[in-house]
Amino acid sequence: MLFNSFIFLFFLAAVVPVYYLLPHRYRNAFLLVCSYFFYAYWDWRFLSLIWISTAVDYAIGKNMYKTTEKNKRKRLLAVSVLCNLGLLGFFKYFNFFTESFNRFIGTLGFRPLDSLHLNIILPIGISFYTFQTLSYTIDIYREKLKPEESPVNFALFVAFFPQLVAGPIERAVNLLPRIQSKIKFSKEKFREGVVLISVGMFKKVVIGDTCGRIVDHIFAQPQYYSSMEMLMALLLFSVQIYNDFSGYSHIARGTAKLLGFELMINFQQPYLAVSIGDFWKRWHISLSSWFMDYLYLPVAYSLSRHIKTRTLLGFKAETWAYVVGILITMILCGLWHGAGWTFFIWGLMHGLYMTLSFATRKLRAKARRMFHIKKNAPVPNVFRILTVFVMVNFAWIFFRADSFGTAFYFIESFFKWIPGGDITAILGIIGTYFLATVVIDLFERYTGNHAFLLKLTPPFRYGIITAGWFLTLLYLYGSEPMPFVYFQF
Amino acid sequence: MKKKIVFMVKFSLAFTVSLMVLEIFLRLTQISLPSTITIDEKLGRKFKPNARIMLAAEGFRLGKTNKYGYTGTPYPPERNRDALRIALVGDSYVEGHYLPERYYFGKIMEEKLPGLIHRDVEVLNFGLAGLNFRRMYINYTGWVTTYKPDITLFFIAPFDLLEKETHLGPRCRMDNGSLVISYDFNRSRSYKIREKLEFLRNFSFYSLFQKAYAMFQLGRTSGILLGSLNPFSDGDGEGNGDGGNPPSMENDDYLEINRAIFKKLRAVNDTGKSRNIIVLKSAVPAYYKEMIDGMGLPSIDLGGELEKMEKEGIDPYYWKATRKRGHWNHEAQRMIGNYLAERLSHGELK
Repeated sequence: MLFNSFIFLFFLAAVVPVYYLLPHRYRNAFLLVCSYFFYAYWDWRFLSLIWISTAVDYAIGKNMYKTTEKNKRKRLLAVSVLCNLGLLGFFKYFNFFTESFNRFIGTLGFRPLDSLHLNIILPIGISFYTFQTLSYTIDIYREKLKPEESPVNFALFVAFFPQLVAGPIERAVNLLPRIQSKIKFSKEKFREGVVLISVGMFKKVVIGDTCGRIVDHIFAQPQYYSSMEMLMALLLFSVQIYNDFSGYSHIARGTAKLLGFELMINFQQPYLAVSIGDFWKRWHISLSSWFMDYLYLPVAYSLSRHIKTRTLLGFKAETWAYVVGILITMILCGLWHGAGWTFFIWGLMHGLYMTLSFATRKLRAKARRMFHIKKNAPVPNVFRILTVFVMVNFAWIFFRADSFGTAFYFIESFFKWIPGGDITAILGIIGTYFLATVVIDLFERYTGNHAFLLKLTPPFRYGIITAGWFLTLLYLYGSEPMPFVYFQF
Repeated sequence: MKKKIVFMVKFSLAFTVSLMVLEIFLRLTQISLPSTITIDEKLGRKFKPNARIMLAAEGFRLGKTNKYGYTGTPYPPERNRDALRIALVGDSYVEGHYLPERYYFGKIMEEKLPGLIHRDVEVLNFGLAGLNFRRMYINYTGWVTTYKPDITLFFIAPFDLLEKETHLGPRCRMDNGSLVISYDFNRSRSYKIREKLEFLRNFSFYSLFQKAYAMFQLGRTSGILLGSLNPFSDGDGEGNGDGGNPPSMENDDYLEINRAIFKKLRAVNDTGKSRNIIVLKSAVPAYYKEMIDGMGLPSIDLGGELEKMEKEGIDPYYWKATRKRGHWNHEAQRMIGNYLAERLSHGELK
């Protein structure tokens, strides 16, 4: 079920009152059934994958907690990792690996094996719920968490519909206690939920989707467009993906709030980041923190333990640990987003950006001292924000392009500069979309709340919200709904 | 009570100001633009001059009408240079839906033809979505001829010949065996209402309403609201808009009117001052083809060329970005532009 659809609004309007009318002991079971319905609305067949993931991790979690034997715990963890990554690997990466293999043997002069290609549908949300359940077993392995006793509660932790298909990727330590608790209806939370859903819908439908209708055309056939039009497509893609995903996260958090739950914040004004590291602390926070906790830190820690010498090739062991750790993490982060070499390059680029940032940190500090620039002075900060924005946008080319051919065509066209297009109209479009995005971001930043409209008095707040919904529903009715960009991941 | 009134006043203020801000947002981002169409007393639907056009459905087009109210290079009605003037008359296919103007077949023709005939060429695009053959004729007599074209190309398909009149505007009818254009619509109730509410069409919100209303009229409401739980199928087909089941001569309501129009167009050719050519976008019913040929009205068949493209593996109606079939795509436009230029340079000008 898409959040940006009328059926979801009807679904929500039915679920919330029934949920609060039910006695506490039936609520989680009810939410679980609703969550499965929510997922099955897209394709019921893939519910079985969620059930497999749920059953395996529920059993492993309990067994792991019971035993103190280190090797057995390791083996159980390995089973959980294999099972979850196995599902993900098969459904998401099978064709990618076989196609890459075929291409490789093709370059060696062998005939490609066509039989290796399978018509596999990527189950929606698989990248999200497999990571969520993985964090559960890893946390039990690390003895940070006790396993959940109730199968219903655990199943709800895996399948909770507001965040099932595109996150935020929740940690069991945050979500499970809420599932176990007796939730009471809270007016404040409900109000906040309504505001978050309203802002999220506006960001997704009115800003994100409308950018998408331009972006899709130009990226599909860039050969028919001028450089200015391609630049518009690239910049609008950065607006689209941000509003699409942060809008989705707002709706997810708002929906959870209506039901009395708290989900983690997934975006914090990423385009106002002053460094690439800062960008990743603000962009898809639930994923970046997952990679930080479960991949980067173990890899970096393990590397620094295994490098025996203090320096290697003139660099400190810690530097090696950072660089290798970050490159591995970012490449895998790229591949998590999509099974394709363009995503590999996108991840690698972010890894290289961070490495560059790390390598030049002393030099930049020296320059600041030399020119007497304070660290957070406004003018240099604007320059830093713009630099990060340009770097991120450059990497978006590989993220959005369906092939290297398209990506390089874009880059080439920026250097060659193919004239054409209505410059005034294009600048107007780009400028207005950015202005809308930045205005919402600044409100969020300066009120310290994504539901910033709550700071207004009720008549003004509801006047603005009603106008926003008026436009959102009108647009939604008259156009085909666009799925969330992150659904494909 | 007082509290409630204050609440309502503040609410209304916030609502109105927000709508105004959103209206500006819609216009600047071109998500939705004020209507580009106005109702002309003589012509019916007509483009407003200098109106912004943004179309993003099968393909994508960002454009503008010129100061004379048609699309493309603004050639004035007066002819002040020795250039061959070609007018294109037709529906959305001729208007050049969903692609930048530089890929439009008329533009390609305008660029290619001078090299072939060693003379400057001016192509004027009078295409407008929703024009059927009768309306094309009304546009031709009431507007296109004021630009004194040397050649006028009428682009038709079965749909254009057989489609019922739906839009507000003048109509062709037969009166004692002769063709007349009736302007009764000026006195109709819907015209009067429209005139009064014309100001609404200057709002982007209005265009969104219109789009939503079109969905409602198409019976898509249950599908939009219920998604895949919708028990009523929308029967949403795909394909280009020139299909339709051609009726037989007996139940063709417009046969006599269309015949009379063809005759009029032929009569213009006889004067030697201007030349009208029929361009068949796809195969028309055989009796129409015989009628056109029988009258000696020159025609160019694009259907065969488009079919040839399809046989070569290029679908002229397929849009890669949206994976939809619809209007002529970039490849089709290029083929048509080149083909028409070739045809006009070889024989059709003589």
